[in-house]
This record gives sequence, structure tokens and C-alpha cells, in this order.
Amino acid sequence: MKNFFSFFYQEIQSFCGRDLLFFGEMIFKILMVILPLLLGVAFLTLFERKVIAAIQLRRGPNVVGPFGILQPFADGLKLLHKEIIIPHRANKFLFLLAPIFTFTLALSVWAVIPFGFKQSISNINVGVLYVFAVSSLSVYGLIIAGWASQSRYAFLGALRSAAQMISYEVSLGFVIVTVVLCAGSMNLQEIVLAQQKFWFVVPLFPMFFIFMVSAFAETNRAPFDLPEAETELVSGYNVEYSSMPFALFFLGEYANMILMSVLGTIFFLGGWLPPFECRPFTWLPDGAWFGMKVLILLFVFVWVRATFPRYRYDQLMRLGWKFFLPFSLIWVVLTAAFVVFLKESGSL
Amino acid sequence: MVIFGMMFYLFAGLTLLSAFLTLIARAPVHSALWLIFMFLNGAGLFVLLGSELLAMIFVIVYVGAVAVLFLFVVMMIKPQREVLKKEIKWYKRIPVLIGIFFGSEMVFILGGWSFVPVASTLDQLPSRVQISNTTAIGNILYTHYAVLFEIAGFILLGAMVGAIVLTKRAPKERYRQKMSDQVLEKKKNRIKICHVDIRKGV
Repeated sequence: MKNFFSFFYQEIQSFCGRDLLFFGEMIFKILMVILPLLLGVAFLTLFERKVIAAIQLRRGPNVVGPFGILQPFADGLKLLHKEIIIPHRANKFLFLLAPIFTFTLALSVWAVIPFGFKQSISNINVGVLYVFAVSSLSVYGLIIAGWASQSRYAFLGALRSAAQMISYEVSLGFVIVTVVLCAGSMNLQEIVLAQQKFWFVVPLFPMFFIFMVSAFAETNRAPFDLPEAETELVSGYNVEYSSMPFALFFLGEYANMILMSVLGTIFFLGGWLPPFECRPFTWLPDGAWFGMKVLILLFVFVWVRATFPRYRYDQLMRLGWKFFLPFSLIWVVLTAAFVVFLKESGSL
Repeated sequence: MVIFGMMFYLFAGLTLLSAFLTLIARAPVHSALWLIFMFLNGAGLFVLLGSELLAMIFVIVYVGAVAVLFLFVVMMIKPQREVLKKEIKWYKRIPVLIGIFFGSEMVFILGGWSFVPVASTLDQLPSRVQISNTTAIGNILYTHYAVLFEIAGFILLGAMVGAIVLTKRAPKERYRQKMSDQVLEKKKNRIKICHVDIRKGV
């Protein structure tokens, strides 16, 4: 018995010394990722409204703060002091769990994202699969939200968005497979480092296109924003939500948008690498290149929303299953054959 | 290492608990959700074992694909309680028999369980060797087990063909839009302009 206690005492001592320091460092790292991310989400909403306004020859928000820069905070505060309404027949626990789940998943993907050379919270070997697994989980947030709110509109919206996300995940998976084949690793750091000679967008341009379109569908964005088609479904799976639960869905959706842009940057645009490895380009730090590329892709998200009309449901499904899936499948086979050919001939 | 122990018991306990709750939950949707929670905890156990690839595949395949379909089906079908109760009475005996069978099997196996003295030296987790998980599995899957791998692929192909055949309808039953027809449609085929006299109608 005495042995037992002394064993525990030693374990706790070593825990307090080494592991506690480790935990402190981890929490610091996590905060350093999450706080800028949330700020980024807040300003992305402003960015979107400003860009769409410019495209439609309007001014956009310009009242709160200089150039409307404090608008996101005003919106956030407004949402914060509204009442949380729970529908009469809703399943209370699941109803409140769904937004929390969505938001948690949207944040937890960022654990493996490298922002620069060796700058990620956790550098795991199967980083690509981790990202894919967590993003495939995010369907549950929507389904549970639609089911738990006991409303026809919400349920239909949830079914639609779940079907859409599952369909486009397939072709997204094949796009990722081609990138992994070219890089020869599932580690996100090594995928970026494999692009030092040329970015993957050059040989894999069709896949980049498919990736971006699938990303629009995955994040339920225009032109694939059927789940929240205002005219038919009012607003889809989140009709019954108000106040902070709604805000969590909203934040999660926009965080996913940033995530998709970041993934596009890492897979195709060479992550934090400058376009050319020579003097004037290498003056800028890694993070600046990374941020610029992500911003360009985010602009594409907003640009597409302001430009294209919404797809019909059957058109959406046909595009996903009959065009993107066979095309990306063929492209995977071709890429694999090409990589094997290069390896056999000794030039890789 | 105390953290690893704590995490193991956390995941293992939650796996058992959620498996139990899957069985006893009344609403089928709750049952499916507990099943999903169980899969997630199973993935956690894989991570603790050092096989991160299996953990991720587990989450992607079981939670991301299979369980979503379960949830879909369960949500769409509204169980008719009265009919179900009548039918269940008869079926109830069979699961009990199967349960007794597997339970006794487990008792027999676990009762006579003992480690071989060299068991601890046979530990061949890929994390201890200097290869990544993915490489290790790829090396063994496409060489040693290539035939089994191919057979599994053919079985899946058969299942896929079966599913497509089951849901395929005859061309007469399908309603589909012909895009070319829609584009080629002319105004004069669709719109008839009538001059209607007042109080006479068309």
C-alpha cells in the first residue's frame, strides 16, 4: 500500500514539473491560433460585405467606426444580448449541443495547420487525414441541429446540406489524394516543402479548380447555398436558432471558409513559400506570404458569391457525382501513373 | 505517463458506457448518436496505441460515412410503436440466444487467457520502429496481403453494383429535364398571345 502511494506521489510530482510546463505552452499556442482566428472571422464578415458592396456599386457598412471597421463587434454585441429561444417540442440537449459541436470542430482543425516552417500546434504524420476526418464530422452539427429543432424547414435544410456535403467530400478526397501522391507524404509541412521547385497549382490546375468548387459546396456557400435557400427554406438548418447558438453556427461557417482557403493555399499555392526563392521575394516573412495567398482565395469566395446565381438541387448533384467524381478519379490514376513513371526513370 | 493511463481509462470507460447506452436508448436517433460517440472514443484508443492512421481512417469511414447513413435512415423512418411491439415479442428470443452464445464464448476464452512469456518482447507497433504508420501499412497491404486486398475491393464493387441496380428505375418512371430541349425552346411554342374581348373570355 505504501508503495502504491509513493508511486502516485512520484507521478504527480513529475506531472507538476514537466507536464504542467508542457500544458502551459500548449494552451499559449492554442490561444495564439484561436484569438487571431476569431478576429479574422469577425473581419471576414466585414470584408465580405465591403467587397460585395463594391461589386454592386454600394458603400457597404460605414457608420460604426471609421470605414465601418467596428461593425463586426457591433453585430456580435447585438447577438450576445438577444434571448436564446428554444422551440416548444425541441430536444433541448441536442438543440444546444449542435452549435457547440459545430464550433468546436471548426476550431479543432486548426491544430495541424502550419502557418510557417515548423509553426503549427501539432505536427502529426497524418495531418491531411486529420483535417479530412474532422471536416467529415462537421456534417453532424447540421443534421443534429435540423433534427433537434423539430421544424420542417430546419429538417429539410439539414438533409439537403448533409447530402451536399457528403457528395462533394468524395471528390474533395480524390483531389487530396492527388496532392498526397505528388508530395509523397500526408504531413502538411512536407506537402508544402515538396512545392519548393514549383507549386502544385501548375501541374494540377484542374484539380485546383475542382478543389475550389468543392470547397464552395462544402462550406455551403454561393453558388451552392441551397441549404439556406431563403426563398424556399427560409434559412435552412438554423431557422430556429437565435442569439449565441446562432452566432456559433455563423462563426463556425466562416471559420470553415478560412480553413478551406488555408487548405487551398497549403495544397496548391505552396503554403508559406514565396513564389520565387530569390532576393526581393524572400524579404517578406513566411507569414506574410501565407496570409496574402489566403486572402486572395477568400476574395475568390466572396467574388463568386457576388457573381453567380444559385444552382438547382439536381444540377448540384449531377455536377458532383457525374462530372467531378469521374474526372477526379481519372486524374488520380493518371497522376499515380505519372509519379511511378518519374520514379522509375529516376528523375524524382 | 500517468496522463496516458488516465486517457486510456477515460476512452475505454466512455466506449463501454456509450455502447451500453446505444443498446438501451429508447429513441433510435439517440441510439445512433451514442454509437457515433462510441466510434469516436474507439478512435481515441487507436491514437493512444500509436496507430494514428487507423484512428483517422476509423473516424472517416465509420463516423464520417457509415454512421451518417444510419442517422439518415433512422431520422427518415418514424417507428410505429404498436406494430413494432407486436413484432418484437417474437424476435426477442433470438438476440437473447445470440447474446448467451457470445457471452459464454467470451467467458471460455477470457477464462483461459494467459500471456506467452515472450509476449512483451513481441511488441511490434510501428511507432517503435522508425517508419511512419502509413508506410508500414502500405508496405504490408500491397505486398503480403495484396490478394486479400483485391478480393475486398471486388466485394465492395459487387455491393456498389447491387445498390445501383436496386435503386435504378425504368426510363418511363424517371422524370428528367433535357437541357438541350430547354435551351432550344422558342417563344412561339410556349406563349400564345390572345386578344381577349371584355365580357366574352377566350
